Amino acid sequence: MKRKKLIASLSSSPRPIPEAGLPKADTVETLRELQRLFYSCITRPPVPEDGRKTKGNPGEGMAALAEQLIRPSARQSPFDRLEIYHRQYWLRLREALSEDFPGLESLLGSERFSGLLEAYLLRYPPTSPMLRELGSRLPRFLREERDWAAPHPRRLVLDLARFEWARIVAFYASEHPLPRKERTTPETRLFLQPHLVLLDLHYPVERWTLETRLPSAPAESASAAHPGPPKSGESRVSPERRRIVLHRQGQTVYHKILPREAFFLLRSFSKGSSLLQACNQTAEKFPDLPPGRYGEWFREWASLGWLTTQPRSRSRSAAS
Amino acid sequence: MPSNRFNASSEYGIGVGLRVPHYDQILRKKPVVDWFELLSESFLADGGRQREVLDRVLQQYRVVLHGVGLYFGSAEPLDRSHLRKLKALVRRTGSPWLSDHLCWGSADGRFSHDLLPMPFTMAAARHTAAKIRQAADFLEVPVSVENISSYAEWTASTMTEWEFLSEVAEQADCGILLDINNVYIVSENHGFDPYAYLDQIPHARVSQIHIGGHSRFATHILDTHDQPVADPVWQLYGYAIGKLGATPTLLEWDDRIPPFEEVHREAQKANRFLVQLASTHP
Repeated sequence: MKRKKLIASLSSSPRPIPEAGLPKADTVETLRELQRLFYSCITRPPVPEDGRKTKGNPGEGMAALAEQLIRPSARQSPFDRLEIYHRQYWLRLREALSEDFPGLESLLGSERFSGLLEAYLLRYPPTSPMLRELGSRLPRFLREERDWAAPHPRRLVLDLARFEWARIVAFYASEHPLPRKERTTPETRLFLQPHLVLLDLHYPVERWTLETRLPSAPAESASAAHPGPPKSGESRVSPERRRIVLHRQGQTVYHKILPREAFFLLRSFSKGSSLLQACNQTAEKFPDLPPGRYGEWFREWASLGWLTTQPRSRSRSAAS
Repeated sequence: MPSNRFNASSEYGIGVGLRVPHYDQILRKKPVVDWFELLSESFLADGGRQREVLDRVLQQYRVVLHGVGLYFGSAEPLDRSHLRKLKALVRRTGSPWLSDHLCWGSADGRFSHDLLPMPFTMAAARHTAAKIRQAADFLEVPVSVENISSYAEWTASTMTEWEFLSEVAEQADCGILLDINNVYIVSENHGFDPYAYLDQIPHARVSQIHIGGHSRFATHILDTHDQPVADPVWQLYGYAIGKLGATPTLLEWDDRIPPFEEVHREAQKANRFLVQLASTHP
């Protein structure tokens, strides 16, 4: 019941026809009005399979609107013709999000996952021509709408969504030039590579095998030995705090668990810090950290190419 | 005619769409293919596997970019950020021309991720043509528009689809990517003679042809690209080649994709028409 209430509260009905009558597309403005009408028809909530009347399935009103917009064919009514686009819209977007969040779908179960996506897309319709950006605001939506996680712990569901979105970011983001050693001083400002995502998680979601359907299926570093995520309604998962970095090497996305001190140090570079500033801040927070660890970490991070002198662009949503 | 300013006066033959399930085989075995068509939006990312594949494909093959994200017919203006990325990709790939669809797909900054049918009116044609001109000027390569498959016709339309396509192409001074499968599908869905469509469009503007498979249902045909090209589409293709001469032709196979050899074999069937019919073209 809760799910139905949520959808009803978020649903959008087709736009009404303007008082002046159906736009004729004889100017750019009326073309715009006509396209808005069509768009509102095909993006309204999916119709329940049992065909019952809901806010998204307004029955005769929708059929009447379709008749004004669309010509009938020899074998189809205007409503049926419009419905082809309506069904395609939801099928296409669900398929895309299902590919990007396979673990979340497995955890929530197919029906609840579908309900979540419908509610998500009604609040956050696609605003990018790139289909791969579709899930960028799903973690945010799960923060706003906590009920979708039930019966699982809210943080578990959120962590899984953040982790799966972070994999998309790490796979597609650019790689900036590496710092030149001879030009790097303690005062040099450094930034994280755009393909590097830091996640502070409450659950060990990275342990689960997440069948990836990214192009050409890059492997995950720690996935092979672990079972998949629990199925919908399955066993309890114990919380286990962990700080993770996801990054790309070549065409493969990897993840790595970091000590909290290293995570703190690395996070200092997310907004750009000099080596000196970042180390000072970390030493202040963790006074017992042996100085030798800094050198070890920076050598490792340099070999993995995690840092750059070029700031990130702000266009991409951060998963963390 | 087949080699014209809309395909940069190039002499491309039969190509195949580059698709993920074939990457490994293409990179490993390097099959002989005249050219690949790349879905532009799949290669706009700054990194990752797609970019690496692209670089390796470019070492071996000629490619042409074909997009789904410009939405020339949307009432809203072109997305400048998308155009900038596209221009960088054009330069990187050396694509001699670029195509996208004669459709709309977004309203108020929200995207349907579908190719939606236009109302065929003169105002819509003018607006669409202006956007194509802007895109071509910015991208600095010839642009072609592709006729889409559609399942609905607007009551607001005041002209036929081929009249609209011709009007847009003339006003934009752009090329036409003629999708023969789509011509067949819309002729069946909307009830008109597909041969009349082919007779009426400006032949000198056709830069490229698409062929592909479709799925027939009781009430309509869907453009599914998931099976071989149907016989009526091959017949229509033969008729088009008779009118146009040998034109760069590409097979689209995007779903339930079989092994590369099968896709390539299907594409090569176009050869029998090119050989038989192009010779009769004046």
